[in-house]
Amino acid sequence: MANAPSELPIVQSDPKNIDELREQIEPLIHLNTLENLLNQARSRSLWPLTFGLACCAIEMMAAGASRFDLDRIGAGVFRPSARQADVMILAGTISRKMAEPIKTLWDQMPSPKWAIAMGGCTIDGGPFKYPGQYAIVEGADKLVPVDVYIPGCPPRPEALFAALFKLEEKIRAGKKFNG
Amino acid sequence: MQMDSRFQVEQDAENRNTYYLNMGPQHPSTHGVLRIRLHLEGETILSAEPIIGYGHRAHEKMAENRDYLQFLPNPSRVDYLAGMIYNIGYCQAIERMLGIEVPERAEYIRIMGNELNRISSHLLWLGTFLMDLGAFTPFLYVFDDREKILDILDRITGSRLTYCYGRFGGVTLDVNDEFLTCVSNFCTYFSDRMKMFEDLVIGNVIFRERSIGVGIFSQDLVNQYAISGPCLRAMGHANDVRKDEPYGIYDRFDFDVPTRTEADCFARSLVRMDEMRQSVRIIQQAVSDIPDGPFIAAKVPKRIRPPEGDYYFCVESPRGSFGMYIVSDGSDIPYRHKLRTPSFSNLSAMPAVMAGTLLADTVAILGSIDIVVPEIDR
Amino acid sequence: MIADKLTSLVQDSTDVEYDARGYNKHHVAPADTLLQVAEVFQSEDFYLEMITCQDRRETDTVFRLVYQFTRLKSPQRHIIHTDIAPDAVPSSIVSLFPSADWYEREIFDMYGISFDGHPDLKRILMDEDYTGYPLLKDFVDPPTPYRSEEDADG
Repeated sequence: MANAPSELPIVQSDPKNIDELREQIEPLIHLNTLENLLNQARSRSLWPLTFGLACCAIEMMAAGASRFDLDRIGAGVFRPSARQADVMILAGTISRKMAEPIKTLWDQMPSPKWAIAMGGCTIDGGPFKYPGQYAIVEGADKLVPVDVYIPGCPPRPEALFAALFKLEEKIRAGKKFNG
Repeated sequence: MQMDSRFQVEQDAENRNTYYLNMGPQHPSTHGVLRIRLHLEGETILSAEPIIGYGHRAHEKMAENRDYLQFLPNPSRVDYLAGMIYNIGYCQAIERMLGIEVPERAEYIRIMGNELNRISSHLLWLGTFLMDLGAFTPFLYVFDDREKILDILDRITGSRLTYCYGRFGGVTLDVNDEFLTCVSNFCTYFSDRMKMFEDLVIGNVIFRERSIGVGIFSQDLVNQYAISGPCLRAMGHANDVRKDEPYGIYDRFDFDVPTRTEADCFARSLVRMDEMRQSVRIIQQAVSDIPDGPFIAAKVPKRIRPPEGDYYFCVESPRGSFGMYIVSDGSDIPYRHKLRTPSFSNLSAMPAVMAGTLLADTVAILGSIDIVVPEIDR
Repeated sequence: MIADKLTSLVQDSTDVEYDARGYNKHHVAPADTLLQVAEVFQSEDFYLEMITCQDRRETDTVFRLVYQFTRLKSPQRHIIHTDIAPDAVPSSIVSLFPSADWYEREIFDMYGISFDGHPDLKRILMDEDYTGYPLLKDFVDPPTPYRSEEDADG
């Protein structure tokens, strides 16, 4: 804390700009622009898209279920419709045939939106990558802009939690959205 | 992406107003990336065409590019809900090809792993099937029990979902008495939970209304579509690979094969619930009979070179009969490795059952067949 | 018995040791008697467990189709090999066993073999406009943005 609680800051009259004013008041009153306030709210109520592709989907379901409960961090409301979702958790291997639907779904999601690549397959193809492979897309970032990558095959539900916390930090830091 | 020009209402030859509705590949009830193109008149389904391939990961091509040991992580990911059964099944196939004898202790450990995996798969089926029908509570309850099983298997394998625990000739690590105590405690606990599930689910009027009489499989579908697993047993046939073609040491265990005759969604559900009880029986026998000894065969060849020819080996997965057809040319890389998966056959029978049902029944029928899409697409 | 009905239709039948191989009998049938062989199995209450294919063009200059029939009651498993020339069109057995529908589509998708009499022969696992037959031994996937070419560590 810049000033001790007993000392009130002296606010100069006619500050040169908003930043100077904010610097003086910040220790006592946290002045937010509206966007920061919205980011605080968005980060604490992420609505994921139900988008399990393969094995990682089961760990995502386990993260949403009773032991690991995503709902206690506000991210438990899985929306089947892309138009109501904020974050697309790509859980599982992306096959070539699935690339088009994923792009469509990403476009259907309204801004602000984020993407989490869960599992080795969405990072760079995972165990299904070999020279000359014909079946999969090597990494979700070839299709959508990914914010957080979770390694693992499959990653534990605690890893999904860590990823969501990282994403929340990113949102609160005022990351510019990609939508 | 070209839009299918048939996505509009049209009048067909019999003056009915029909339209096409696309379900999937992203849909909460299709249990993975399955797409079904439904031809509807109002809410009645005239025909359903499953379109698969959205989960194709080229397992069979990978098998031709690597040797038998390098392929070991793959079977678990073919059907991740029965990862242990598939992984150990692959090890057993190779052992039979080479004539490797597995020590007794390893066989008992494998049986315990298999049956625990079967219970966890059926539990997940129960949770998701009921969630599709609108009940959210059982989903949370079954995941709680499933986590207990996953904790037990995590102790010895290190993974929760996709196991690579089997090795040619045995298993990777030994189990200790603490593990056996955990397993038998779980069995005692689970028997009471089964009673709770039956009270919660079987008597529920909405569940009964939505599943009794829905999706009846006729008897000729058996030979037409090679149906196996609980779908077959709900049609009155007491066929189970563990009894018909015993592998491992299943012939030493005393368990029943539950059957029903109605062949509707309700019958399939009851068969799976009964199978969970039978799996508990098997595990309890395994825990009491497990001998001491080595957990992996002493002499396993460093290079796996099966004699030339065709081999077929099948195991009972929670979804049906899973078979591996391996063609060896004498080298350490298989010439052809075909995975014959039960969901592929069971799903191909679905269009025959769908004509005349309502749209809401699609979800019930699909859920009761219990498919895992990456197993269909491999 | 099934062996008698098949003698006129197949080129070779051998008994196989079940414990080592997992099936009971092995037959080699020519491509033109395929439908009749399938009829024999259907009349004996067998069902089609799977159809698959082996690319044997390098070793034997043929594609080898593999049909597998099993029976529920008094179980027996039969595997039939049918060798066809690379551009041949074998007949489809969908009329007898509807489960062959998807298996034959998969063989078409992965090997390029068309089946005469199949109601709707289109790709099943790959995209409908994909060119190339992946499970052929000499298959090379054309360059694509979905795969990083410079990564060669297998």
